Amino acid sequence: MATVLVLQAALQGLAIGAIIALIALSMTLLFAVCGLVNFAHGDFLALGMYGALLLAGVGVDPYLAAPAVLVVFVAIGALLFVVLVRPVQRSGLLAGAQLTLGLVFILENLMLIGFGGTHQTVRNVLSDRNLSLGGLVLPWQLVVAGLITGVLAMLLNIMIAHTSFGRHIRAITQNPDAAALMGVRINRVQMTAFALALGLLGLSGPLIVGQFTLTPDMGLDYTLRALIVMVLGGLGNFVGSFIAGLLVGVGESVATLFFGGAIGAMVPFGLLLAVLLLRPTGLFAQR
Amino acid sequence: MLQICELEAGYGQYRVLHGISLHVDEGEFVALLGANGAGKTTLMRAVTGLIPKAAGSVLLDGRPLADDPADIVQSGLVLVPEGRMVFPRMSVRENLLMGATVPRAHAARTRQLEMVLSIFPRLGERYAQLAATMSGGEQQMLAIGRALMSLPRMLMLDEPSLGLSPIMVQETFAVLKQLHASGLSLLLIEQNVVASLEMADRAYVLENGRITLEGGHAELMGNDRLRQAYLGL
Repeated sequence: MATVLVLQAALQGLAIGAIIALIALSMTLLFAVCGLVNFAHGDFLALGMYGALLLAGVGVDPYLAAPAVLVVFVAIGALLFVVLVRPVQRSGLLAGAQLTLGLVFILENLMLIGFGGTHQTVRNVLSDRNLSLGGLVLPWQLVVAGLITGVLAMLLNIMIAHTSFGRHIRAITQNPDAAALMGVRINRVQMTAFALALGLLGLSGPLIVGQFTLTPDMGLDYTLRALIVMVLGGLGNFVGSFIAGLLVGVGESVATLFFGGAIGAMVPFGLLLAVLLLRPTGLFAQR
Repeated sequence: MLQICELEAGYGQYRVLHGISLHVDEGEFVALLGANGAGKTTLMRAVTGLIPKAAGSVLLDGRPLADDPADIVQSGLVLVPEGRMVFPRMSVRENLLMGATVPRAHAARTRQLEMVLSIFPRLGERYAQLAATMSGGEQQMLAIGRALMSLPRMLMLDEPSLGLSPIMVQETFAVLKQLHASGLSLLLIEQNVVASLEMADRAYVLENGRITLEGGHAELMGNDRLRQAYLGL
């Protein structure tokens, strides 16, 4: 019986880990091509969930809402880059951090104005349905969210590793001047990366919304996890972020099973401390 | 082919180049000599569009060069940058493919790849290896090979001999002679005065952001100032 429980926790953790991994990957994408740490990342995810809430109000299931929110978020991403990020980009890392920190307050308060401060939930077609496998019981919506985000995260990694667009992204990460001298249009790649990263958040939000209770200030928690995963995986390392995301998910879930939720919630931070002490360049550091 | 007229550039308020004029004719091999801090690399950054020009113009085939580095590469002017700047965590193959980014070069990449590997067989042997794990000489070959993948009509090289062993310098220069013989226009930026003057058709000397001398091999080798400043004779 104990093994079944552990297996259940591990599978659940894997699904949550896949979600965290995708969020961290899209954050890594922005860091890699723009040198920007997006502190508002979790808030954009929250905005995506509220988008699903809004559409659920007119009878659209979150699973159907996901593509629509994706499209809107792609546009938001491109606009964000052109209007806000590009102008401050040359002023350095700190200006970028100030910009995204400012966005945190703007987004959280806009959501507070628009949707109120009460806790809200969104139901979808799979709510309250469970997948029973042997002795295992998993909520269907977690299985679906984990599978889709896991597949997307893997596709993103394949794109980075094997397409010419991915090669341009890595070139900019490794040496932006050399990339420009090869004819990579850096602005264009950065704008596409922004659209893609925000698009992934817009897609993820509705997919995972059924699992969460919405509050306007929920975003920071996801930003923190994504940041932790990004550092664990080695800054700018895409495969590292993916594996670290799964690790954090499984670690937290299994620790919660054995030691309770309070200890479980400490796992990501404990991992971060341990890695920073023992391997400060990340678990999967690259030369 | 390439004509630089009264070019001024620098960083912020700080002006490094004070009106540089030089030209490279079709098929010509021109050397630009200068000590550290003379402004050689700043000149290359301004010509390739990495930093803005404060004044003056750069013409390629009589037409003003675009401002965007990608458009400049597309028009056929390609730089092998100082310090090689290969992509460290990419394989030799991927580095070479990066050279074929602009549309004109992308269309010809298969044929060009064969050509580059025939000039540098060593790159073929190291095809799947990460650039960071190669020797300085091999990285320089890769940097030149990558630039050739961009289908240059005119190639500029910023101190390709920097940090290389004497044998590798000889090998690198032999490749440059071979490229020159095949008709490519070359602008070689060097501190290695004697070797550069031997290869080049003409040379300029850059000092403190200005061109101070210009001439052919015999003229410059006979110039007392140059001999004093660079050769210690």
